[in-house]
Amino acid sequence: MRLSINWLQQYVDIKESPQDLADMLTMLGFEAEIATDLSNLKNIVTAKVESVEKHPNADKLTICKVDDGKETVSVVCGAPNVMAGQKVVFAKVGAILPGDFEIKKAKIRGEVSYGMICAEDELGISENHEGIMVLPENTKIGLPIGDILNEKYAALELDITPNRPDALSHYGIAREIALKTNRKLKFSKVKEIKPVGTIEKVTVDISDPDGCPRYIAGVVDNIEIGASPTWMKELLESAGQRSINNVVDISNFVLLEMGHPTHIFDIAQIPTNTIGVRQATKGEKFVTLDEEEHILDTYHLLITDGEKPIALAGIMGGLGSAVNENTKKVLIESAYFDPITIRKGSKSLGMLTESSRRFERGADSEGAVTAFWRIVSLLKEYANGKLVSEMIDTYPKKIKIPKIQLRKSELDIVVGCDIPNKFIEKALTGLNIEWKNINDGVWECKPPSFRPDLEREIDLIEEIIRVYGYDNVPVSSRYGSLFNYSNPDPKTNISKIISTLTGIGFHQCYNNSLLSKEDAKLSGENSVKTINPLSEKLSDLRTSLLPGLLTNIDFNIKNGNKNLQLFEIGQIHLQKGKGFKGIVEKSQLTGVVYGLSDKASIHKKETTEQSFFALKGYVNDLFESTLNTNAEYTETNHIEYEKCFTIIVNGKDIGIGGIIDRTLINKLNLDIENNVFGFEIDIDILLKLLAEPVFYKQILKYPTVERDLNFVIDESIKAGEIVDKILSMKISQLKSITPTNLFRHASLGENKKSIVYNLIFQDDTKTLEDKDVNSIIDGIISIVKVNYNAKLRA
Amino acid sequence: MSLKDKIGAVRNDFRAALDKFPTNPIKIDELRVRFLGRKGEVAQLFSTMGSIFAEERAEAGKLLNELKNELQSLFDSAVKSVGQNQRKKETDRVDYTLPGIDKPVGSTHPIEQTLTEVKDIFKSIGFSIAYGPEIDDEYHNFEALNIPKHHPARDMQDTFFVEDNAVLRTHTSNVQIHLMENEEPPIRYIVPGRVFRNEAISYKSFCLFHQVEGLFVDKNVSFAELKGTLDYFVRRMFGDDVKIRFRPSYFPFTEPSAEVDIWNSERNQWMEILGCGMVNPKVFENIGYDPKIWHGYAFGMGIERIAMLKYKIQDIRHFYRNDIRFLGQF
Repeated sequence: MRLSINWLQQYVDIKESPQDLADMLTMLGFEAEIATDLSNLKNIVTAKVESVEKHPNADKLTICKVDDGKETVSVVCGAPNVMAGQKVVFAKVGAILPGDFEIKKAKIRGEVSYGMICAEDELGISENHEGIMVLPENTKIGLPIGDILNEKYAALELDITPNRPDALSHYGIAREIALKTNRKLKFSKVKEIKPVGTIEKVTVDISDPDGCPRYIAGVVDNIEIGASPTWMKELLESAGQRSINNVVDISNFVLLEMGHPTHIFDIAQIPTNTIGVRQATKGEKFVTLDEEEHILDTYHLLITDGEKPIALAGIMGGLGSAVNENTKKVLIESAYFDPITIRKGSKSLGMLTESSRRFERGADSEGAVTAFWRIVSLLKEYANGKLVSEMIDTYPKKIKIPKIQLRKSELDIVVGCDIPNKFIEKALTGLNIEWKNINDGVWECKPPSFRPDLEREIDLIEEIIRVYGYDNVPVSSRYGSLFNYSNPDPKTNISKIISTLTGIGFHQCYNNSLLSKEDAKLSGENSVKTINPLSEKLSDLRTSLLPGLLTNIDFNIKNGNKNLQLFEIGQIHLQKGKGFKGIVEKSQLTGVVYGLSDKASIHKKETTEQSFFALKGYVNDLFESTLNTNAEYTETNHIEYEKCFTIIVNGKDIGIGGIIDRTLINKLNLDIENNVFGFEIDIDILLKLLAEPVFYKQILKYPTVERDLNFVIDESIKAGEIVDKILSMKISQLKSITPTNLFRHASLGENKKSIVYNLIFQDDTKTLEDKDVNSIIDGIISIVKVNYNAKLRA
Repeated sequence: MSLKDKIGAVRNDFRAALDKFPTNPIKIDELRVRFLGRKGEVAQLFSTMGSIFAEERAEAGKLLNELKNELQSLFDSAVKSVGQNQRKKETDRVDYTLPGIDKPVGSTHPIEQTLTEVKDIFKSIGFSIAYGPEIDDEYHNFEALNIPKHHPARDMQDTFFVEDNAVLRTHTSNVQIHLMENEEPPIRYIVPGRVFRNEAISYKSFCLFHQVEGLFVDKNVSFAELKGTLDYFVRRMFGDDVKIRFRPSYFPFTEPSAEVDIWNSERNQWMEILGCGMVNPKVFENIGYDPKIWHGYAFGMGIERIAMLKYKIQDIRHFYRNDIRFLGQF
């Protein structure tokens, strides 16, 4: 809400600078920042337009001679309303306008301009940019602009939290300042007015008292539509509201003054002087003031002329019943509508208005009366209006104001320090809360009607602490008591995983969880979709971390980094069954590598490319470092991979890896030329494995014996098959077996290859002799020969 | 010539050769063969042993062994010194200005680092860590937290909906409810996690961010302790000199509620870093804790915001682009 400081001055003295006032309000819970403060603007002064001539090279521009009190300079101006003799706001060369816009000497269509004549928007006074701002004729020239305009136009922008509808007005804020500073509130009581002439009858028929608990109406005749008085125009403008005509302005003025929304109907559209309040019928159509047609539902509340709708209650009036230049007689509405009804209605239509904003937060049920009389008296004074009816107050459902007990004992616990009884009572009074002391340290309180947020004891406690000042509450360093720390952090081992991966050259990434439906489905899983996405590109939740990481590879390649090792740890969501219950959330670790793992340098001629086996190496490193165990691999198929293996650790399927499928990369529209290698690991399983205890194993003191075996086998036999076979012999002295050389040559025979296996033996209890090893080796050779038709190569 | 004289001659020859000890390995080996080889000069002297009188043979053998050992040891040390000279030469030749051998170096994401720092601070004062679902029903994300369906407070967080009245959680506060449903007080947790907001993506907002929520429920928990805890946190995170203020605010699930700002001397303004407050008794009623017995405080902060302040990052989108020129800086 835009708060005019000048307007605020009408109700309470403001001695602070705009900045100090903003700070005070912020510390009261109304976040404030400066919207307009002209006092610091340098080189912007009042000036006189001496002459106006056409610009020789542009039809819409003029060249003005401007006297700024010191000198007369030439200025190119584009405003249609500039005229010789005007007093204007002039920004000299060197001036800095709000928004850090610096005025420089400029050549505009060949003519030099030494400054700028300002419009209101350029000064941050309003949004108005229809023409330059023209000052009163008697304005002295050469004065800093702040001196003459700040008093009128200085304003703050307030961010009012939804619990404080009472603060959505100048009077509401003045009330808070008066409370904080002990200053007097200035507001002359609104007087009731007697109707004159023949008293007209008005019928108000509320068929939905839940939606409309109170409706006050009255008729004012003899209206003369015209301009508003200058003071009202200026206040409205300083609060960001443009002046329209006296009647419309009066309704807006009362809204911004005291926060209560009212509506003024042209009574020509209500021939029977009847107001109905009812729910809309399903499919009923209605055109509002902004000329939009709405199709309504039963939860929309309508104001009718007895039959036809004339307003969307609490949101916006209808096009037909609006006040216009021919309006002679009006009906004033000052009602209290149910917050939920208004909220549902405005939300469903996407219509957030100044009126609905206040009703949905809870209007003041008693303020409706005050607002009515304020409107009537302003119409009388500024539109020559005459009240020709009684105030018709239809109040079928009384708004109850609760009685709340406030205990000092509870306040003390919550705040954690001693706030004296005297302070509490003073604060209650200042907050317009009626109270009586019913026991020592116990008060019975009745909040004012404009504070619908005060319902329970804790609401009052909050108010007392707020008035006391959060900064006055001491800082206690008591952090706790006794606890059962069963599991301080179930995911603490993630840091081990991260440090291992970063240690072998991986960068950790964080990607968006949201992507397009198409991309989310590339993993072959059903994705969870959002009903109200930001865009089609961000509609579904990721089912795999691969699309994000592949996009990161593409991005980095485009930015000159072609060698990449990336990983991400994050959540994925799978729509396994129907609805919310069918959603499965999993933690995933995914890594990708691309380009070179080793670059050439002055020390080394060859480069090394990332490869399928480099990938296996990284996966091995991960499990060796974190679990001191070797991963095992079995071949599998997966839609995301061209060549894929399952990763098995300690007997558990923990993930997959391999060469990323080309079609996946193509479908993501990425410019990635070469193979990407990737792995995906289920973090939840890995965390379980990491949580298992680790026990020290004896370091063996007897020497190891190494042997190499070179087998010639069929191409179709995989190196690992023989490793597995030999391991399955469960030879206790065999500590490791590793393929160390692969050789293909015609001399071996067709479709043959030779593989050298390095075997390491060690006995737990003695030094192994050659003869011990020889007999084991013989056993191995014969098993391999028999099972794989292998030949031993010398 | 007596054997003694012959031994003397070989010794002298060898010493002379030592003075001009070669550096070429082939020449070195030639020298070795000449004196210490199987048919070398020392071996030839040994071969004359047969022609020596029996009574002199022991003495002669001793002298020859001495010669052999002496020559071998002189030869070995000469070879070693050649090797060392060679190494020394190579060492002297090393040009320290040549680049080191490049190994790929990884990095931990700045959000992860900031998150870890935040977790460590709270762990050090007795908070445990809990996690919860990113997709939750409206009850846990809103209603149980005292944000009813048709309440303007729903506008405070733009929400992504999925079917069945479920949402992408707008805050980690949903985990407050899960924790209190499953555990009896006293409880003290922080909850890190990813949260979602249906906001247009710009330099200052993204459709998701990471939050750390805190919850402490016990008897007699006060606003003063909340201030103490967060004061400690902010000082550990931003340094002891940081200026901090608590100002009144509104969150439906806490009352009183506050926002915490720290002073940014570069921008010359207060920067909001977290929201907090005393757990609203309505929340306790919703999950079945007796508000007459239990009090509590809760707080929540955005990790991106803290990381941006800490590392002076101006654009939140950097965190999700994963440009290694960015990632590598942390």
